[in-house]
Amino acid sequence: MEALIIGLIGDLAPLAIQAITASKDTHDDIVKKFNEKVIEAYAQANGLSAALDASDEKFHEELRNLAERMAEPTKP
Amino acid sequence: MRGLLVVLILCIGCAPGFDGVRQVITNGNMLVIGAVRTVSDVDSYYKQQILHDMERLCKAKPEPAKCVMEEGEKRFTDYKMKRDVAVKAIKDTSIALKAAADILPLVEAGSKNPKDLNGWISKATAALPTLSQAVSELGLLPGGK
Repeated sequence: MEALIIGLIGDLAPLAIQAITASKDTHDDIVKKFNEKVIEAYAQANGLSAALDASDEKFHEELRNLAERMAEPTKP
Repeated sequence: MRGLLVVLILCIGCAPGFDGVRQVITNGNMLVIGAVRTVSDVDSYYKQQILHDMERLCKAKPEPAKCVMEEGEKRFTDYKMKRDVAVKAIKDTSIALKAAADILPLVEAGSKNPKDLNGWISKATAALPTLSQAVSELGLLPGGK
């Protein structure tokens, strides 16, 4: 039901945007932009885990370095 | 005039709504991209915050190195649990949106059942509030952005 309502609102949105911005995009242009956005979002979502794993490893290393630094006796 | 309005509403109601579905997918993808950036930003900020806090809190402790490792890991584990929820929501949403985007042209061409498309769109719209909530909670972590 939610999808239907959003779909109906969404149906009118492109027409309104086109009317306001006087966009000269053809249907093919819109589909091309749409596909690019889908691929970008999907790639980013899938790359996120790998980026976070690498960042976690770096964090643990920094935490160990901090612990080692703090274990060193303070120089007089 | 009233009859025209009724016909117009019925026509909108009966339309397959491909542009509408396309708009839902596009808007959903914008949210996914925004969520990925937010999670990345919060992640680097929060890890730096943990390191900074550990340096400050453990300085006066009898075993500062032990304190850094134990407290740092504990803080990170608590944070990671919330981060995992946000990452899962991002992935669930992006998978549903991608599946809908892949099916859309097949449904438009009449070679695929529209129910499949509706199913993925429903999954995506159901996942979006979870995504917003998870990312919002991540941003509200103590010391977070």
